[in-house]
Amino acid sequence: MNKIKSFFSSLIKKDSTKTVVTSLWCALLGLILGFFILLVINPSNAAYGMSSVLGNYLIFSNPGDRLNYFGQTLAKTAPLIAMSLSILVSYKAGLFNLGASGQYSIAVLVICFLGVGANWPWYVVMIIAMIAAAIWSAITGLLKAFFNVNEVISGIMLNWIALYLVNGLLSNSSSVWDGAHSESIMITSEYNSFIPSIGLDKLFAGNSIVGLGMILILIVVIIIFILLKKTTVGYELKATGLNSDAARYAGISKVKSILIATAISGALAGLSASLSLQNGFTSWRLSSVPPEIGFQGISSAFLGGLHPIGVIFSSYFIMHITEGGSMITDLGFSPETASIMTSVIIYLSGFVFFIKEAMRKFEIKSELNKLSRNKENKV
Amino acid sequence: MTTLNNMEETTYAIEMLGITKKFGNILANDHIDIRLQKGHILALCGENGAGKSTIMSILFGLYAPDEGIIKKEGVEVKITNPNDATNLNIGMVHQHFKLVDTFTVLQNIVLGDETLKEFRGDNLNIVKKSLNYLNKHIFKILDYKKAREDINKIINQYDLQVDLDKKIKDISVEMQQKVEIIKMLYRKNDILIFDEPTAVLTEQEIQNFLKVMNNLKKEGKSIIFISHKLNEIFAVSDQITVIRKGKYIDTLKTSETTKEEISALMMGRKLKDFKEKSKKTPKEEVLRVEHLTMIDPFSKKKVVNDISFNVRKGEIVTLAGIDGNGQQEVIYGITGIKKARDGVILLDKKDISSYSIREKIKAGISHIPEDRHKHGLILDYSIYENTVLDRYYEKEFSKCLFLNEKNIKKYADELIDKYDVRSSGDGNTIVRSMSGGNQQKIIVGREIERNQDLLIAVQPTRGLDVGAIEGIHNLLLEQREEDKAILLVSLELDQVFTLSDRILVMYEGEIVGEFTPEKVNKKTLGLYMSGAKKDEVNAIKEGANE
Amino acid sequence: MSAVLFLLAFVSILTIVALGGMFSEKSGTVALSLEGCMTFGAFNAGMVMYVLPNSVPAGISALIVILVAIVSAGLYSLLLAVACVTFKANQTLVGTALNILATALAVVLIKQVTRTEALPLGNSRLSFMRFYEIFNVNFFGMQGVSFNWLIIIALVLVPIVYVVIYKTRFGLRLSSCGENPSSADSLGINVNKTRYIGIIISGALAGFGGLFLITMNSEWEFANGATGFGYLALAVLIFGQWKPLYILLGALIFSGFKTLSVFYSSINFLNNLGISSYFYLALPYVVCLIVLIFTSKKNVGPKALGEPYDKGKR
Repeated sequence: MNKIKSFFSSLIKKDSTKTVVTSLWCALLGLILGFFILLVINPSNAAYGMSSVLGNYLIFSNPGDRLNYFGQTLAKTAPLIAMSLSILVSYKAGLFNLGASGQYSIAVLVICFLGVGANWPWYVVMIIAMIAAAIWSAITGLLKAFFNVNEVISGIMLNWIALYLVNGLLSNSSSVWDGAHSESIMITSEYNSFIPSIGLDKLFAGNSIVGLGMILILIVVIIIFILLKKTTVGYELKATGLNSDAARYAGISKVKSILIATAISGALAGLSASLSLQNGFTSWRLSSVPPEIGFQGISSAFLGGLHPIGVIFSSYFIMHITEGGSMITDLGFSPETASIMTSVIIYLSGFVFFIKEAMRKFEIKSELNKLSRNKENKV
Repeated sequence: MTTLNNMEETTYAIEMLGITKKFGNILANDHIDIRLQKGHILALCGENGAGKSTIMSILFGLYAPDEGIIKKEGVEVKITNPNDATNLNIGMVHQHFKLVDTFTVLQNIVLGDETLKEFRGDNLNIVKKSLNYLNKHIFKILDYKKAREDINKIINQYDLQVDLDKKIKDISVEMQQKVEIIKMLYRKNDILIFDEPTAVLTEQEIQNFLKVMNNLKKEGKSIIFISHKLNEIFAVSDQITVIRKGKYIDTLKTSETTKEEISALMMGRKLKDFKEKSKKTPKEEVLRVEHLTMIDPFSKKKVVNDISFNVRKGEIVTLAGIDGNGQQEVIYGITGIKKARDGVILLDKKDISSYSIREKIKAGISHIPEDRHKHGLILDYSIYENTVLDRYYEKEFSKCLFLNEKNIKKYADELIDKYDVRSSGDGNTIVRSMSGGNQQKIIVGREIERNQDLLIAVQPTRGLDVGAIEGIHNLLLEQREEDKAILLVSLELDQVFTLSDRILVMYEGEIVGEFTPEKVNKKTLGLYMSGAKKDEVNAIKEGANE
Repeated sequence: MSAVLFLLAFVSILTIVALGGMFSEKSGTVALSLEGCMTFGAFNAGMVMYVLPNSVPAGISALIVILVAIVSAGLYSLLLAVACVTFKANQTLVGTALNILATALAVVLIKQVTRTEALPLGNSRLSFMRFYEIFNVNFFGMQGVSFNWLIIIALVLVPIVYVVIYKTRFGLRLSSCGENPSSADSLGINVNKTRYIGIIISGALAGFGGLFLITMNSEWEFANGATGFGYLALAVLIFGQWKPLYILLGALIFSGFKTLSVFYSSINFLNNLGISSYFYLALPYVVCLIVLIFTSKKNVGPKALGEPYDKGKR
């Protein structure tokens, strides 16, 4: 009995446990606020709306449909995980990658021309897209390293530049552009550039977008985890992020760390584009604002406690409510309701540090109380 | 009986009784009593970390005490923030000045106690009156002209000349201190607290400062003067209160005590004598610096101006001087942290001037930086991770791209053992949670264990308690015994004299004198450090040229 | 709408919003949420505009709408203040969250009320607000140069802000909180309160700018937020080195390029070059980036910008 007790108390004291607890709190509060908004908009349908958001594929009674939509949510989670990793890697190096949307856009450009236009094999397209996004992202790194330009501002500017660049180049080339729907031509399973399903579709009621991408992203998560935890590169990145001056004094090149971090996070944003477009569930639409996924990545990265493994769960959660959100349009709600919830979650993630600190203080206090109580008892 | 009567007659400007303050589990102040008589100077003395700054911060309203009361002129008062202190006319000059660099002197003085524009005179018409009202309550436009007049009066009364229109970042430390004093006088403070005011001053500036203190006393101000320098304390104070490790020890009249007595009270135990430096003849040259010149990128001033010197095996060479005379920049130049404008750096006869920081480390330079939190450690890394901060890439600690955790741990555990690094846990402890002395041990251990040729130590004992200082001194002396070359930067004369084999005095970016500790006394050294001897040095140089 | 008008309108909006952001940054908090505050203020004002009955006189409705924009955006920026000042949250993170939240809220609620994607702003009563229909001034022989009170407000705001920042007690204290909060604190200045005020002013002015941005159009699609104007204003603020006059200058430059992207086709020479319209759309951002390269090296921003003030660390 005591063993179990001590096991739990040591579990509670662990930093990772605190992260999980606070993340769950954030998610819960976000959901409650979302429900509140649904209540304000349409009280009679709110409960049903909320259950659709939370239930997502579970609202279907047919198991085939359920599996199909579950598969879809899983497949769509993959690019979000990639995006979260992109935010995470740069954050570990002390940079805030607000330019992820732009890096994603540049990768889209490559994927459309090479994947749709030239129909190259999927892995070639994926790798080139990642390289292109990495280079685009490294611009931010170069500006930061050599001209001291704040990466947040340059990232935002590059988002808009990339947006107009991609809009302009894609909409003017008929080989990749579907003028009737004013979007880029969708990559379907007939294309060489389509990421193969390797039979996984059969597990999900024939949903062809479920495939190798999901396995790939899990491998990438493990790679990033190892990179940050076990390698010299990760050691350097984190040292620069935590205290760039001390890192420099110890001979760690700040320029190198910044360039590596921005390039890796760019490549991950590119991977995100690849996992979206080459899986055939999205295309590039003409838009006057940068793609939203770059910002969604921020929410799942922080909700996931800035941990590569945590990001898998947070990304799934966010994609789950986003997909659920898209199902409530029939009830007179906008799919953006889910977007409200995620932004509330990002906002609350800002308090995580404070909450964790408060939990720590509370622990010390109760420990001290216990000690003094013990003393009194002895007396 | 007589003493009792005296006690009753005395009116105290400030009494702090039974003040207790805890930070977490650390008892910073334990029932401390401080009584400041009106128009007197009370010296508050104790070693680093005795709790002097904490109790003064409590008086100034920066911290709330856990226990105890404060009385002003016999009446109990509550001071919960600096505003309360200001309203009670209590002013404080902090050890690190509280000045806004980018503001002018004038702006800094008025900040927080501004004079607003108003029409002055007896028969104001209704328009002027209402404008006055509006400005007082809504617009609050400042009247710099009036403020300037008031400040100039103070400057003349106390002889504190400063240029009101210069920005703080462009004036000297001594001037900045004057600004802090004027700030207090401008607020009509009559109880003045000085926290280690002479730490940043030269010998001559200290004499001027002591005069200013006496002037202030003459004008009826009551002063608390925090210091651990006994000469100054005995030069100006009326009473001395000694605290040690957070506890109140005693209060004595300055005229009735001796330096020896106070010193003994401060230390509590007799200081173990430092290991006597052995007689040694230095061997071959390790470091040679030739014509090193460094430029400040912003002011374009030459912060290091054409200096040359060498360090040999088995000796400790010290760059002495007042803070900010280019010592730090010399180190930046040698270690490669900042680019030198000109000059050659030779390590073991090899030109390493163009090496990167990493290459210089590999070539055999170890560096204990001045600011251990900012430059020496990654505070959120564990002890393990910090012990290999400048050598994690070596074969022993990494293979291909992967860190060899087993070897790192083994190495770090040895280092923890050897240098007696104490923490609440094992090597996985996050360094942030450790005490300053133990943090410094990690750095010193790390830099020494690299088996370097040259050890650079910049103020290696800053902010450490007596025991820790002893430890660090002994480690440096051991390195000297092992025939390592050591370049030390120190601001503390005691340290300079205990450790150095040669002393190089820096003033305004130049080496103005070279001495051996046996052949120079503190006073002469102080004169050189303050630049008073610079003209002579130049004259000799010119004479030699002719 | 003539190009000159377009230019002046953009200059005014950017100036107003960037000046607002200056109050936040001068006190030490990054003004990344300008975009969100613009969106939120514009959205609330737009909704009120939409539901106000026709019987309300134009002048009064304009006044109400402006007040709504200012107050709602000011309150919205309180969310930033609470998180970043009181709870010391990461300012970039919270700023981003508020930008997304404003857009999402606006889209959801507008769809609920109007059943359309975009908020219609074609109401004739609003002509009072529409800047280009205010008053035409023919001076120095220039024909049809119209001024409106938006431009005048922006122009008047520059000297007012200048005086507030450099000549008043509030301005001095505000700057001290962004430069060296610990010294401000030691002089009895309430750093957190001052930062709250700075942030709220910033939000209020951004809301005001957002309102005018949307009234330039006959409808506004809130899915696009404030179409990046808030970010551009932030860039203008940095380009203007946190000084009111330079901010005006920066706004002028960026507005010039923004105007070019709308009117380039009517300039024969540029039209003949045959460059894609997207190039001109991207141009202001490219220019901004280039300017940042030249101005960032010398770091002139408030010293404590982006750092929450922690009393314990003094």
